[in-house]
Amino acid sequence: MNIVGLDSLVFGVDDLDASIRCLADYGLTCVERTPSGAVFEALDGTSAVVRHASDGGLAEAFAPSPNIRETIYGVADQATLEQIGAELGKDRPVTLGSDGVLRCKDDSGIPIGFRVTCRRPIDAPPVLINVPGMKPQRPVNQVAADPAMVCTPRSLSHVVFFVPDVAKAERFYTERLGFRVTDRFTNAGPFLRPAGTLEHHCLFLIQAPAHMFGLNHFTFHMADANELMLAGWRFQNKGWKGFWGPGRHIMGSNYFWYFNSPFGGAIEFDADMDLHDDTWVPRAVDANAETSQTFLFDYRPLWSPGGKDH
Amino acid sequence: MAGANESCTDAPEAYRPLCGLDELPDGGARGFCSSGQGSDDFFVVRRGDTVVGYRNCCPHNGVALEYRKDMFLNAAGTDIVCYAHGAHFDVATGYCTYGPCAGESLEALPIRIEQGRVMIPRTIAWGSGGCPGNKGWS
Ligand code: FES
Ligand SMILES: [Fe+2]
Repeated sequence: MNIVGLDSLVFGVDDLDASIRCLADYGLTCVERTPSGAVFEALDGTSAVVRHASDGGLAEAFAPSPNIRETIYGVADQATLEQIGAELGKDRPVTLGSDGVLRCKDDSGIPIGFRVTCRRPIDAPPVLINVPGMKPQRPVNQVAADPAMVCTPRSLSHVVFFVPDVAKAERFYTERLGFRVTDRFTNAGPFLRPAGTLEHHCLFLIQAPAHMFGLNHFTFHMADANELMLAGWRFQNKGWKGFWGPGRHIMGSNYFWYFNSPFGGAIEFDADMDLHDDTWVPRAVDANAETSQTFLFDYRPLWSPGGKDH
Repeated sequence: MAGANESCTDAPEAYRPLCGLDELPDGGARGFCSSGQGSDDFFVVRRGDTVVGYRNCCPHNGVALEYRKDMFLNAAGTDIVCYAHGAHFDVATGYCTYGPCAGESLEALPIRIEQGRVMIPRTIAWGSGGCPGNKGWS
């Protein structure tokens, strides 16, 4: 099935102002603000939607608030949408909303939706680097380090759930929706890639205790490592509490930086994820400190060797 | 002042003043750094004349709980929340009622109120090391 990735994540929160401030500080663009919530977009039109947990328009909560309330995937075309409706309609209620979103629950009970993707071409300056031994990309006399550089997340990357039965959750996505497992943490769960994208994962599932269910984290793609570091550094300077990163994952190769958030799970910045096709043979390793990253750093405030601390 | 009673936990000298009770928002939380330098390694929650304290370290991944300075509670102020993965904790006991570490508890910091002053142990059980940090995915 030609699912191209995530289109939108919808959150039900208990502190709307803090959540809106979080997404704004994260760098997304606010395109809709009403008393009941807001919509924030990345450069390609993918989005995070935030509403108060009590908002009647939200899908039913499946975990205490704050938490994620709906995960909406983008599909290539109307035919794919109909194909999904026919497939999932076999064994569960599926509804088509006036917003064009086909809605149901996955086999864990997580509300999911599908719509013809909102993704649009990204209009942003190219990222150019100079590497010895390679043809220079950045023109002579064009400088790269700009303290005023605007870092707007480019695209919704991935979402991660704690699920009570990871094998069952995985089967739903692979057998019913045609996702591929790209890699697997044997003590946690699979990284999943839908057929309409080569990106390593847009979904990662983590086995959790039976009572535990809900968001682990979500992230948008930044342009590259430089933008990720600058955006994360600014985010921390604005008072958000980082807890892991910056570093670089091994599964997917994406650079990462995770922060606590008022959404019920962590908010991450990521960049530069691997692409895979169907010839890729999934790796399976135990998740631990060695297999989770190639390197890891901690934030620190600006410093100069010429400063008074020298 | 450090004295002969230092090793006796019941001696008043075993506790040091943290702040005035009236400096804590009633119904709210506040983070502190026990060494005076670095990130907040414990936090207190005040309800009227009662103050409870906990190490700022989630039993799940061993990371700090708040998403911004002093934001340790849910909006209604009824629960302590870890904003890494949404674990909820009982304010009075630190017991995790929901989340990946359900059934475990936050490490309590004994608190005394003396003449309107909030007192904490002179020696903090976890030393000055803070929270060990992320242990992985699950
Ligand atoms: S680290 Fe606190 S819930 Fe995961
Ligand atoms: Fe991630």
